[in-house]
Amino acid sequence: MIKLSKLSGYKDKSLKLLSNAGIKIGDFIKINTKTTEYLGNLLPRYEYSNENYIVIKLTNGYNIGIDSKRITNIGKIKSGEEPKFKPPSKPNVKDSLPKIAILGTGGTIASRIDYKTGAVNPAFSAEELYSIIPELASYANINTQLISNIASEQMNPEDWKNIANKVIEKIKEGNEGVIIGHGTDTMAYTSAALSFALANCPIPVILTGAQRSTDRPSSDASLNMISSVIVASQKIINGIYLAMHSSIGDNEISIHSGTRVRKNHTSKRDAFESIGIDPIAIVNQDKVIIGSEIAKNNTKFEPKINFDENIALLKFHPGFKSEIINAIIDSGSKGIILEGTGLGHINSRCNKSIKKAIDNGMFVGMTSQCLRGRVKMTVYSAGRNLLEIGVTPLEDMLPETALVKLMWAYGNYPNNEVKNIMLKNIAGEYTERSILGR
Amino acid sequence: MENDKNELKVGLEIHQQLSSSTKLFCKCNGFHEQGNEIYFKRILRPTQSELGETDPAALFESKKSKLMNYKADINTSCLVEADEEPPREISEEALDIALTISYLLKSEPVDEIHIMRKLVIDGSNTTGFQRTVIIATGGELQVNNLRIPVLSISLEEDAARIISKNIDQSTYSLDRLSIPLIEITLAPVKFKKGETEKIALTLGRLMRTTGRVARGIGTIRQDVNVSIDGDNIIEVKGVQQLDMLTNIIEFENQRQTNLLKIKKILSERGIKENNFKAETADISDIFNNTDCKLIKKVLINNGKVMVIKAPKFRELIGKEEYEGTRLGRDISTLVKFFGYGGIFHSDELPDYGITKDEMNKISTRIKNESNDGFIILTGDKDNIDIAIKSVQNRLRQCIIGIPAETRTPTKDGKTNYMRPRPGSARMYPETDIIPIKITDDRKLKIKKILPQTYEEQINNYKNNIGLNDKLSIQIFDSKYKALFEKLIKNINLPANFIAAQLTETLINLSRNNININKITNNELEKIFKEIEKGIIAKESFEKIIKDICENDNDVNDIINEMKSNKLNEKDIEKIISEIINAKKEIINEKGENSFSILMGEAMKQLRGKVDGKIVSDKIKELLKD
Repeated sequence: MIKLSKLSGYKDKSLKLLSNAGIKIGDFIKINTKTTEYLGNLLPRYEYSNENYIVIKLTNGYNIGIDSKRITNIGKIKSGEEPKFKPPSKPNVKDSLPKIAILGTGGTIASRIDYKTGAVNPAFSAEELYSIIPELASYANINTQLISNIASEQMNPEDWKNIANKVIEKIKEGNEGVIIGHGTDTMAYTSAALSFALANCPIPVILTGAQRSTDRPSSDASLNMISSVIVASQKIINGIYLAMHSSIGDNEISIHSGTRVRKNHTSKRDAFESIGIDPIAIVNQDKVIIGSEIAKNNTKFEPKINFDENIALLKFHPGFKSEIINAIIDSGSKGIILEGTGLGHINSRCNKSIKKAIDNGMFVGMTSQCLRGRVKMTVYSAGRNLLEIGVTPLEDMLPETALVKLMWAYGNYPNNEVKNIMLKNIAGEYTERSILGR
Repeated sequence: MENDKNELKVGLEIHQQLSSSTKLFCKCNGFHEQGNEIYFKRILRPTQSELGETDPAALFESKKSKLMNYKADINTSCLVEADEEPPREISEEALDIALTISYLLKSEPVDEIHIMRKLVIDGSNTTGFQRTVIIATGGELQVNNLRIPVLSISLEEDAARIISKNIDQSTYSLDRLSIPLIEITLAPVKFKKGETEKIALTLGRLMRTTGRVARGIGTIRQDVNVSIDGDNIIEVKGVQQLDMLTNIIEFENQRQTNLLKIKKILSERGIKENNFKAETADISDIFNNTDCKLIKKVLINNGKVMVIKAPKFRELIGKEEYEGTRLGRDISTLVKFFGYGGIFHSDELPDYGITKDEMNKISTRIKNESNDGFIILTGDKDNIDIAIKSVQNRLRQCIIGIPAETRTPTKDGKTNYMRPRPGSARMYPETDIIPIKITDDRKLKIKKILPQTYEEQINNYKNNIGLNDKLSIQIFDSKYKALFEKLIKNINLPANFIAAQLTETLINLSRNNININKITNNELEKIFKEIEKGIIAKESFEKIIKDICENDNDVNDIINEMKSNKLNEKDIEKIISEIINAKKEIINEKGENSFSILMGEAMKQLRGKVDGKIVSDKIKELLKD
């Protein structure tokens, strides 16, 4: 979604024409060319488009662009009116319902359209969410907070730390569950990060979002949000999860483990998949069906929320230059996660550089770009040589999860403990058994 | 039958499918179903505007809370139609066709086109909106001596096809979704009987001169905007047959006139907006011992009987000076949307087992006076409040006069209420697609290759190609026009023959329930080529088409089989000689007049295998001996 620029965005000839005629955005104006007369409301200019076109909304609702070179006359007919927005009031929600916090990070959950300008504005207060998704009032007493407003591909590990801090705050405030609205691009990275930072979390924390924009009636946002709130309010599972559609239909929502989920399609509703395991639960209408037995967790909740950004994730490929590894070593990286081929292999011409990294005290872990299946480096000589150099095989941990975990490990533990931490199953990032049919 | 005080005006809006090779925003072709289908379900939710309001049409639809079922053939639909992927670039081919038609109407293309999202929440678009873009404004259509201004020309996506509609769910097929449509909106003109059809026909033919528009049932649709007072415009959507137009317009004229009369009478009786009250009451108890079968059934099934007071509406609900225009009919249609069978109203009672006594009790219950009426609604308790509200609202609208509505045409030339007219300008930009400049180069290129006019093309068929009058018009109007023009260039067969097969023969087959849409243009071309070579007899055309469409046989297989069965000259001579020998006596008796008998006998054996002309030539040749 492109945000319409707050400024008019008009420059040069267009700006001159408009300001000479005393016209502002929203005014109802008349534009003449040699052949035609157009009547409509002046719209702001799109950020990326040519400034020499003036855009108006015709009385029939359509927008058009008029080449300012062709304009013979332009004049204001009526001043524009400011839209009067009346925020909705909070509905009556039963006090007995669980208290759930909804945090917004920038990915929209709900929005309103200003038809006059076409702007799509996020709607985030509790009142707005109840108004747009009235079903929520049957399940929970929600309170909302916007903690950041950035697209998820712009997020960095320090944002994971901020989010983790906020979740801790919400737990202290007595919330029985936390839902986090998040952009889908890096949602699985954040869910992995929180799974480690908030391991043994005493409440459910569910990340969710929307693949299809929230301005459209078909958006997956509402069902994702409702299902997340249902799961959180039932208090049957604690920990970090990710909730998105199970299929392209509005039938079921999958609740994925935060460390074994991946975005596997650019645009489909069911882009997110659990790899190597089934989703932890499925929500169908308002029933939550648990997939597998949830282990009861008696370990103390001791958040560790730091992340060290200086880790590289390298996807190996034919022609890969070992100079890249050298450059990473020189840049001060603390560790490397390799996405090798097959059972965990790379071209042996890179082994020297890998050895250099390990000899420099860097942790080097191996995952597979196959994504599915376990790494097993004793089977072929390529793998055995890497083991000898000191590369650590990371079983079936997803490459992205391994990257996040290594950042977390270096962020919270001394260097000599990193390897042990990486090999310990902290938050379900490793599976015990390779399940048939997965 | 015009109303003297008001001027009946009619604005025509035509939606025509284009026959571009792909859909408007992806690379699918909507016409080539393969039978490999997937199904999925969606729930569409109304979007709210900045003002916190929801579009009235959208709210109406959402209150009916439907589940949408979608069926998609994977050959005709992709992730874009399923709303699982952003739209691809707009079809340049469709844009060029739209610009061509714009120039034919002397319309001025817009400098930069902006694709918009127009809210549609009845499920016929998977996204909940229709992508539409205005291409040109202005221009005119000339119909004999009349010049009708063109208001606008837009390019938009066609909607999914409804397969079934129930109270709580609808099923749509996505094959048609996103096929490009051109929408041409003409300015309203004073109604003259028979003229609207001419206007629609002329516009249709103008579009067909391009050879780039789809033909067949459902490929063109007329919407008609009818207004008798210029203020309140009723949109009648989806008139498929031109010959219905006058009937529908006339019906609307009468219906709207009736509504204005009701408004006048209500005003005379003292009802205004600020004193209008349509109270309701539960009257189930009044019918405890009723003779009315319908109400008995409702009560047994735990339903309710509700009454709605219609203040000062005596004789206005059933008032019908022209068949079908009574208010009661529209109110009945309205409650059907909420799952109720219909209504009873005071103007038609006592009847249906409801007695005068029961009527009096009802009147007492709601304190009705002599000029008041009432409406009875019976059924399930669940939706009844929404249904009651909509009836009350409709009664209130009678004070104002003619509510803005969208209606559908019926087979017998009437119209039915469909939904409230959508709120104005529920459109916002389709931001996934960047606005497109229409360059001067592009405009020049299109202007250079504008097609000839309808008259010029018909004359060309008649004078230069040798088609007769009937076939000229038939082939021009048919979906095989472009194929025909290609074939007559490449294949040496009489034009009349080719045209007749593509029109009369195929139409005949489709009348006999053969699905001729299964035949592709390539297959037709192959068949004609083989006829040209003499492999297939002319008379076999119909049989082969039938075979391919009914039995799914491959055209190549059929041709090969015919090749192997093809009789050579020796075989033909042998068969005909045998016949001549067998009929020797008749030949001796009748001489040359025995020809027809011989021909009949020969064709019995040879029809479909040998061209008739070859048989007759052979008979004549052998007879000489």
